[in-house]
Amino acid sequence: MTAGLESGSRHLIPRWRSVRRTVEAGEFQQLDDRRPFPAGLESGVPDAHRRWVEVQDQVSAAELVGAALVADEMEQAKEAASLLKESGENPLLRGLGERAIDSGSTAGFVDPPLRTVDQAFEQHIASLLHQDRIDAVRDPRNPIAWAAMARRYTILGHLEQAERCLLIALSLAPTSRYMHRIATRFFVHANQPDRAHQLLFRFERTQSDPWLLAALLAVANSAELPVHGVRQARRLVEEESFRHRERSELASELGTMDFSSGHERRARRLFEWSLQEPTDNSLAQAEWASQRLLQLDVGLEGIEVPFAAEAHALATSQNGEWEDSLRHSEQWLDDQPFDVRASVHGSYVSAVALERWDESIALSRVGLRSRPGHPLLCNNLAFALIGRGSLDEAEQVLGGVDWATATNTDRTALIATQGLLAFRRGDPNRGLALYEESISRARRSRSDRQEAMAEANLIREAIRLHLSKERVAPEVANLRALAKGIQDKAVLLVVARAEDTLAQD
Amino acid sequence: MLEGLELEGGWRVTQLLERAPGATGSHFSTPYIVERQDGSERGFLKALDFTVALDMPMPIADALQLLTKAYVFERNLVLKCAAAGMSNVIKGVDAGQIRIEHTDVNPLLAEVPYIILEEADSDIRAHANAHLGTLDEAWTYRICHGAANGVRQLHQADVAHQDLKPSNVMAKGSTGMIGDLGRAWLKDGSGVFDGGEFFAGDITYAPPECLYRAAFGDHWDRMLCNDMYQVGSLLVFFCTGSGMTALIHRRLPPVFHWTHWPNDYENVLPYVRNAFDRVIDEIESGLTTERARDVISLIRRLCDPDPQRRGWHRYQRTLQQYSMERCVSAFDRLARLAEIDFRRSTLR
Repeated sequence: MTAGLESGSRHLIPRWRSVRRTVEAGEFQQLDDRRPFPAGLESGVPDAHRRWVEVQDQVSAAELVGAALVADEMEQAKEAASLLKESGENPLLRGLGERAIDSGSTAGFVDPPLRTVDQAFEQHIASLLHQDRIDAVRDPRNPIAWAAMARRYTILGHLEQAERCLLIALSLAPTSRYMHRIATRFFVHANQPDRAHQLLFRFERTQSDPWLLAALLAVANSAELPVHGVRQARRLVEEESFRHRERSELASELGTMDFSSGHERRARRLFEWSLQEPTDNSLAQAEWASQRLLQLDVGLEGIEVPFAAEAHALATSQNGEWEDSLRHSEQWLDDQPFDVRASVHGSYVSAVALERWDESIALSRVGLRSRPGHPLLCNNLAFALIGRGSLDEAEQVLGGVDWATATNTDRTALIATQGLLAFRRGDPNRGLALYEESISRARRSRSDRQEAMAEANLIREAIRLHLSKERVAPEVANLRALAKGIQDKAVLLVVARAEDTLAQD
Repeated sequence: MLEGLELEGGWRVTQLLERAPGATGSHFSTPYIVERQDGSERGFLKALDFTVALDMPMPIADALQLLTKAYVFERNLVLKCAAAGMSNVIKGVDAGQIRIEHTDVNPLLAEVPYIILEEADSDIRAHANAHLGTLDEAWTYRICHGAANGVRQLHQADVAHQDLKPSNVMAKGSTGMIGDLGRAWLKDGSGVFDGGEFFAGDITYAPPECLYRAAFGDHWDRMLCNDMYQVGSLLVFFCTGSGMTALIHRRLPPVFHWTHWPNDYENVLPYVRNAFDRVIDEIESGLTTERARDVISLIRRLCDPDPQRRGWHRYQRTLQQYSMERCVSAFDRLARLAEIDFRRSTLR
């Protein structure tokens, strides 16, 4: 039995993107008004413009464009910028012209788009890593180069190297919010939430920075660690000196806390507030909450936020729009290639809803690359491999599960998948026994979804092996009773398939 | 207005040069070419023009005070440099005032104070334009060597230049000379322009930390550090056609631009450094000389965006960190190697 994200909790653990994409995501604070020139100084543009008009050569054009870039006064430099852009001989001057014309450029921070499910992805990451290493050797004091290297190591699952690079980056930029947020993400990913918590808790900026305080609360809540700073967080959410977007994740995490403690009205208010100017993370959180909290309408279509793939993947999955959900899952994974949740969701949708085994296998493998042995991903990979008929490979995958980190839900799914494998190996008794164990675990943990899924799969496998209907009659009756109370479209799809199998038999 | 007039000291004003339109406090003068009456020497005359005060964005009394202060400051400084025998600083040759005998002129404005400076051959920008993409190595390193030596001579006299940019570097043969001391700042804390607390020159060539108003060390350290950056930026200009600060800004997303970032250099430095590293990569890939590694290493040292790491940072917190002696030697070495190569290639 494969499993998705439906039963898990979600918190505002920071995203980990390159600097370039973090800028595009709007995470950096920017002054509302342009700062004035320092007292006693003036822009170099008028003098440079006079010379440009007189001489009209490349150097005078470069002087003018340079003066305009530094003074942030592009108007008078357009003509000179065009000359540089078209001059072609000198790439640096051409780039200067291009930058002057495209004033929003983030060209200094390279981050080519990636397709995580491509065959060549690993080679591509390895070659980028090679370049990062060269950058770090050339200038060992560049924390961005170390952070980029840490991210790529994390994508490849080399967590020790990643940690080393990240600690160097942090030591080079010890007061940087960006570094603290990405380190938080890393430690949570590496199953060391206590270190993430400690890092943020000890950082003096955390209590006054909504981005960092949101991350601290998210780590504490997700790992059940002591929660500090709730009162300060509620005060910061009201703090008008921060923009809406800067407080959005904090409001969203407070909403999640209120929702967990049963204060639904207050939670709804906070989620709605967070949606006034959301980040992609707070948008996904609101979408996640809307599937659990009555009368919370996200209105995803009307919100334009960069990197909103997770929110869309969750919403389309909720509506049973499986093709769209898969597409968004892949985009989500391209943005956060080490995000286990992205990989779990994509592999679940492609296997359960679309029965596209190869895609599900590819998506699981992306996640497993950075978190080898992850129970849910191993489960989904094994399930898809069984679906494709690669039984030996599936057995091998199930043998590599990191059981120590498996939750109750993971174990229920894994036992059912072992049952499926037994059925396909032609051992119905073992298959039945394992499925029954999984069903009883699901029942004990009151998970109707998991129970219905296991029963539906059990029925299909039993009919496949031509077992008598009487042997699964109690499961059929129970499944029909359960199905009446289930809203989840994926589960209903699996139940319908079981009913079809019964009807055809 | 002064053309054709004869000045004390045997000078005759021969030609009016055009002055920048909209020029403000730093351009308090009208420029002329002067010549000894026997034709033995030419010079560059800066005549104080009080009418500039009318166009300055401040009360007229303040503007007049600033003009006068700027003139007196520069006059005293160039004459002091000449007296000290600074070989790579444009010398003040003479100074004085002349009365214009003209009925239309207000008697107050009829007395024109002036400074005469030695004349250099040319502005280096034309040469740089002609050699874009094909670095004229020996000439470039010699000019940089001269400029660095000029800065060293000023530092020895407790003067920081603060406005070392291509238009303020002149060539006299293949010797680099630095001019325009109007934005200079003295070790005792005196100078004309208020921006001197961080940086007083043209912001297009300012070290990044000055734009973000980052205070470190004492005032004199900052001044030395600024000059060192600008010498490095001059080398970058010869290699690329643009100064380092503009190239860094080309690689910096607008959100990190100093006009949009709060006063917090420590937290923007990682991004500035990353942009700086990209610029260094680009400069390196454009250099075909076998001395590229030395050039890049020198640029890195002189233009490091972290003022604490700039210069010879092993000697951090001592005067030697920003000492121009090592910089002068480095340029001298580069120039000698390039000259040897040039001679060898012509012999072949």
